[in-house]
Amino acid sequence: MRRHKATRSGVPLNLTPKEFLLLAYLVRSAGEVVSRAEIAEQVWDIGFKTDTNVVDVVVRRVRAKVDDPFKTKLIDTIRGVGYVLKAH
Amino acid sequence: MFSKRTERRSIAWQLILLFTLATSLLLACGLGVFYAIVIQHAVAEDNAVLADRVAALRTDLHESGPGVFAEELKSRQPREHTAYWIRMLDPQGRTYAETPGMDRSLPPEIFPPPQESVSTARGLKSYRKGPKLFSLVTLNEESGSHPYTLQVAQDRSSDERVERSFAVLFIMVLSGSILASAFIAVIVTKRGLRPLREMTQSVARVGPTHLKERVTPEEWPRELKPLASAFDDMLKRLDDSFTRLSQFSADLAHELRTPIANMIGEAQVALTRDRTAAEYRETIESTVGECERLSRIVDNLLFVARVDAAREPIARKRLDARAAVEKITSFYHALADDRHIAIGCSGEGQIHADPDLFERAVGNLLDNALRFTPEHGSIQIVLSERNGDFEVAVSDTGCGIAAEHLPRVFDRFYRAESSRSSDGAGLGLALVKSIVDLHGGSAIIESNVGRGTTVKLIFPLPQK
Repeated sequence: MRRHKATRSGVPLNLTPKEFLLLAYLVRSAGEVVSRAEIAEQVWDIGFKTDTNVVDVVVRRVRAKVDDPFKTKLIDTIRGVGYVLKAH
Repeated sequence: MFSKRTERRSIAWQLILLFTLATSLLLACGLGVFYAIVIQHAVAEDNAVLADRVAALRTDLHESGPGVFAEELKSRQPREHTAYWIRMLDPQGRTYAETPGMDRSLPPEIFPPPQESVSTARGLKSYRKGPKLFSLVTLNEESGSHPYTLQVAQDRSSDERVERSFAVLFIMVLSGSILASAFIAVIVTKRGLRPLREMTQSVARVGPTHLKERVTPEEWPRELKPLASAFDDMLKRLDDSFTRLSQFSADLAHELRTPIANMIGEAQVALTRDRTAAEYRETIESTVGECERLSRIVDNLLFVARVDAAREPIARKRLDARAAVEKITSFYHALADDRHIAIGCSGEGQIHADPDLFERAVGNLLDNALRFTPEHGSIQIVLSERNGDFEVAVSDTGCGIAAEHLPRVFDRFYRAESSRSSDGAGLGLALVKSIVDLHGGSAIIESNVGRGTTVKLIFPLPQK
């Protein structure tokens, strides 16, 4: 974690620093639903609410790297609330 | 208390009083001077006549001798209105001869010491006996090598009568003029202040439903024109605020109606029959989404309202503007990247602002810029310091805003219809303006349709 490198099943994921921070936050709160505002606050230190879908765009990118190549999907969307990383 | 004060300070009465006072003062001065001149002239003339008379008497005494002169004096019959009374004293100071009856009213002791001649300018000794007034003169004259003394009294009672009636006339003229001038003052003042009364009536017609009423400065006298136009300006501002306020309420209602209608609709559909857990879940999720939208609108609205009422606390700090802006751009980076929009930032400097509010303002501008900039466009943020202010300019290559909408884009819920059909509540720019207002700064918007829009935020720097 400290070296800012993420792997899944031994495969390097090549995340950008912000994508890494987002994934790290989801992992830290695995099993809990986190809202978009919480993600914006934790990852970008953004305190205001925005009408744009910035967080969704980044989550989509993380998903593309973390979930798309694999069969089991880890990140779930909770409509109207936010995202959750399934706990194992 | 207020009404008492205005009552006491009636312009009309002040004008009337001052006008009358001024006229009376002028008239009194003029008449007084005139009176003094007339009286002085009359006295001088009397003195001249007396001098002539005295000179003739001296010649008479000198030429005809004391005996003949005395006879002549005694032979005169005293009448009611004898103008001149003459007495002749011998060198020992005893009465030698006099106009008959003179010692009764004019004894020798009352006369002044002898003098050289009668001057016309200097006043003579006056003596009052009953209703009569005399001017007294004493002169020495030699006759037959003996020094005699002549005592002459001139009856001036008629002069005094003339003087008195003249004074009465003057006082009557004066009081008449004062009355006349007061009357004129009343008329002039009433006439002069009539437009004020008319203006009051005209203003009284203005009400909440008649804000379009105007006082029309052209019809009023020159002195009232500034008041009339100031009043019209005020009405215009009021009308404008009033329209904005009504518009605001209408927009607010409209803005809240859609999410509420959505929620009710979905809930009613869900309730028509039994649903699966997944369907209920979907309905609830949708409701949460709508509620979040409502909550955002209300939050922003509250913020703007608090700023309007100057109740929002502000914690200013020295900030590295570049670092603060780059933090925000990094947040929007993925979104911009997705739509192939380049976000650039240039310039740097220290800004004196509340960090959270500053980020919120810049974030809102970027929200807007991203919303209205088509793919492959670009957004430029330029930071600069000029004339003691710090300027943050956000330019996009978006669709632009038509000139007629520009003055109102900072209003709450205002949208240039063509460009703002999307999900933003139309509060973004109002919020931005509130934030710069809170910092004592200003927001400027420039736009070219089809070329893009630039919003400049100007934050004042602290005085050194």
